Amino acid sequence: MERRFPRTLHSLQSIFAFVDERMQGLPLPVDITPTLYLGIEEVFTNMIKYQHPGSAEVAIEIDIDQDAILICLTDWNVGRFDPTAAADPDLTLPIEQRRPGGLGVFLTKAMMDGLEYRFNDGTSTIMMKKHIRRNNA
Amino acid sequence: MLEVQHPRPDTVVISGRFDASQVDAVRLVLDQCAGTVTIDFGGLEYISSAGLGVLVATQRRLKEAGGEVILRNLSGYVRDIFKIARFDLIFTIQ
Repeated sequence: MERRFPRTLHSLQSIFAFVDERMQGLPLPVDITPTLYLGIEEVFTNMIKYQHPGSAEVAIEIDIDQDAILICLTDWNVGRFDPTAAADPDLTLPIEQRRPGGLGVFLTKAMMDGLEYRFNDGTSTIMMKKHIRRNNA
Repeated sequence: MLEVQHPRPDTVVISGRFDASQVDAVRLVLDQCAGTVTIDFGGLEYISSAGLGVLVATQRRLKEAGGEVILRNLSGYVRDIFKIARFDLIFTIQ
C-alpha cells in the first residue's frame, strides 16, 4: 500500500500514523514499530534535506509478507544522492570531536535488515526490509 | 506525540516520540538547564538521530561548564538505539 506525503518535517506524524495503520492487528514484536519509524524518518528527512529540487510529495510504500516488512520511499525530480554510500561515523570519538551527520543512516543500517538505493532518470528510490521474527512476538 | 516536562531544575522528563519535528520543543527546555541534569526516558517510545543530536549538543554545552547530562530509565528500543550510537561512551546512563 502506497501513500504520498508533503516533503516537510510536519509530515512525520502522518507518516507514523500510516505505519501504525499498516501494523495494526498484526502479531509482531513490540519493538518493530519504532524500528520502522526510524528507518522511514531517517530516509525521508535525508530526502527532503539533501535531494533537490524534489517533487512536492514523497511516496512511501509499506508491504507486509509472511517473513518481512518491505518499505520503499520514492522521490522524483532530484539529483543523484546515495545516503547508503556515506561513510559510517566514528562513534568512538570523544564528545568534543563528534560531528553531526551520518548517524541516521548508520542507525538505519543497524536496525533494518536491508537498505538499497536506486536512481533512474531523476527518480530516487530507497528500499528497506525488516525481517519478521514471529517467535519473539 | 511528545511530552516534555521540567518538574525540577535538575530533572527533565521526555516521553512519547522524539522525532525530527520535535527538536525545537525539546531544545527549548534543555537550553534552560545548567549544571548537571537528569533526563528521565521512562516513557520514551521512540527517538531518531535528530533527537540524539539534541542530547549530544546539550551534553557538550553542560560539560564545557563543568556539568553533565545523565540519562535514566532507558528501555527496549530506546536502549538499543543508545547502545548502537555508543552513548555509553559520552553519557552517564543509569
